[in-house]
Amino acid sequence: MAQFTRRDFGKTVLASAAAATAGKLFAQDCAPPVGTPVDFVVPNLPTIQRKSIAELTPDEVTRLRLAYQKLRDLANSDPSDPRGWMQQAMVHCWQCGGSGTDIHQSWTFLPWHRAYLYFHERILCTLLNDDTFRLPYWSWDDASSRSLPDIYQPATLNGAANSLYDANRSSDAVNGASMPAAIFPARQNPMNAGNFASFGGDANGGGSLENGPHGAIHMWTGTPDDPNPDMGNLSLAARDPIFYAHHCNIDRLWAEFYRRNPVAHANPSDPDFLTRGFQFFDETKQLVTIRVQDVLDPAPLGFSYPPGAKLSESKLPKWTKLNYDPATRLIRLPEKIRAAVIAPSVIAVKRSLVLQQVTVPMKSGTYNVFAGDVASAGADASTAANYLGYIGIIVAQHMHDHKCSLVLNASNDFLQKAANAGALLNFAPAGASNGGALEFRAAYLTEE
Amino acid sequence: MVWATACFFALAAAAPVVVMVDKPVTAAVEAPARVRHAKIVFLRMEGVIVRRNAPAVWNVFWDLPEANAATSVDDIHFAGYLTSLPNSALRDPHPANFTLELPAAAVAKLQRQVVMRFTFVPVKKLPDGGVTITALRLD
Repeated sequence: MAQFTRRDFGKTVLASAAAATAGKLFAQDCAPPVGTPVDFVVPNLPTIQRKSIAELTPDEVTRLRLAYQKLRDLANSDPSDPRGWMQQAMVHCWQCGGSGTDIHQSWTFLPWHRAYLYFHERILCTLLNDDTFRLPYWSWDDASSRSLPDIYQPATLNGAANSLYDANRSSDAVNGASMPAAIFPARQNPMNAGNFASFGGDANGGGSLENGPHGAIHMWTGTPDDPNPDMGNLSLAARDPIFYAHHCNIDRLWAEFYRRNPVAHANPSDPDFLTRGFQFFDETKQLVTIRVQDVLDPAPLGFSYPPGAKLSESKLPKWTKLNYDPATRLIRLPEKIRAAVIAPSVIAVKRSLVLQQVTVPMKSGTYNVFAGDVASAGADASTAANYLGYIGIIVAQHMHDHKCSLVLNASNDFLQKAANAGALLNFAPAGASNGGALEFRAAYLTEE
Repeated sequence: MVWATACFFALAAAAPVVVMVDKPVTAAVEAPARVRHAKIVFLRMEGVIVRRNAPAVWNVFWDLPEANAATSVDDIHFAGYLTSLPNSALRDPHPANFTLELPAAAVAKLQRQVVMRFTFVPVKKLPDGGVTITALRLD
């Protein structure tokens, strides 16, 4: 058994209080757990489903607020109690760098936070004297839940402090804005990860859930550059009650990822992973060593999640690579697309022509686009039957020798003309003043 | 039909070490033989240091050297984005490793080419000194 006596506990508490006043934390201010840990024993708890914040009943909201009020009251009445609000926040600070090691950016990210939430939940149950209490999750994977939940919002309720409120949140979070879509790109859906390493990281690095939406939502909820960023800074993040609901959703997505394919998404079996131990104070103030293997199945820990997750359900644009001959600079539409545009579907399809690795011309100029042969165009290109439009490119001096991408709206009319002309697209300089032919290396048609 | 176009470009720098300050940076990474036949391929960014322990967000594109902040994340060459949260509990910049699973289209292309170029695009203003990636490899 390890003995954690690196510093006097009283000094730690004072340092923590000072840090809280200053609003900033540095390595020396994170409180280490002090005590002699005992090994974790699997509890005999009923398995109760954790619920989305959006689905909490009014009574459950009241109970949640009461739980966090009791946590805050405990911190005020006995700042040295390791179960109190600030001490709970210190647990995260200590394990995310204050101790000199960091459980982030590796495969310990998911199991450590699951254990942290478990002990946090047990403490709240004890303070409520209610074993049926379970933490709620902030289901931001659902597009309808991508703003700060209302119950965490007001500073006061009926004249009393709202225990779920935190003053150090971003203006977007406070003003009810929705998270930007860029946090959930359809091409980067952690739920589509091929295995645990991709989803949750490995011994050498973090996974897509941690490095993607997890981090982005931290930074959206708390502004990292603010003097008091809370959620926007790892060491301060657990000072905001929404932190626990945010991580509860991370935990739920891990459970869901595993549920979808327990073979392909299996948790690592490496003994270094399974036996890795962490220390937490339990609901009786006893320091406990819990290992990764103790938390891989949530049910014995007394909680579960409803199946399903809605992360990145938006449809991806379909990209079709077009046959392009660099010698003739002709793009040929595939027969499938040709057939589709000649007999258009009743369902509107937005198509774009994407030219990539375009060599920036030497001069600014205009390029006419024709369906088929350029030669059929007369002196006034725009009057030619096969004229489709033009591209104007403005070139700055420093852009020479660079590559660029061009995205052109490809209307059905545009594509029909091309299809009727043998499904060819041709780009021709509009005049002698142009900086040469339009050269590119790849062409795609996107459909959405 | 008239298209309003803007020509976007990226500064390219083929180097094993990436230093992102305010512009996109492109680096070429060679794929070992075993990787070129794998179904799941990771781009590993090792020894990532964010100066002054500040927040950083960047996009990664494969084989699209002209990618920049305006390039859509719906582009088929988008590999993913990465975030680095500040952490004031750390006194010094703390090297971290990041992993990105390559999308299926990139994995398929690796079966036909040995070297893949990756373009790292800062999404938000990076902290002073930018972001340094000590090593890149395909695994």
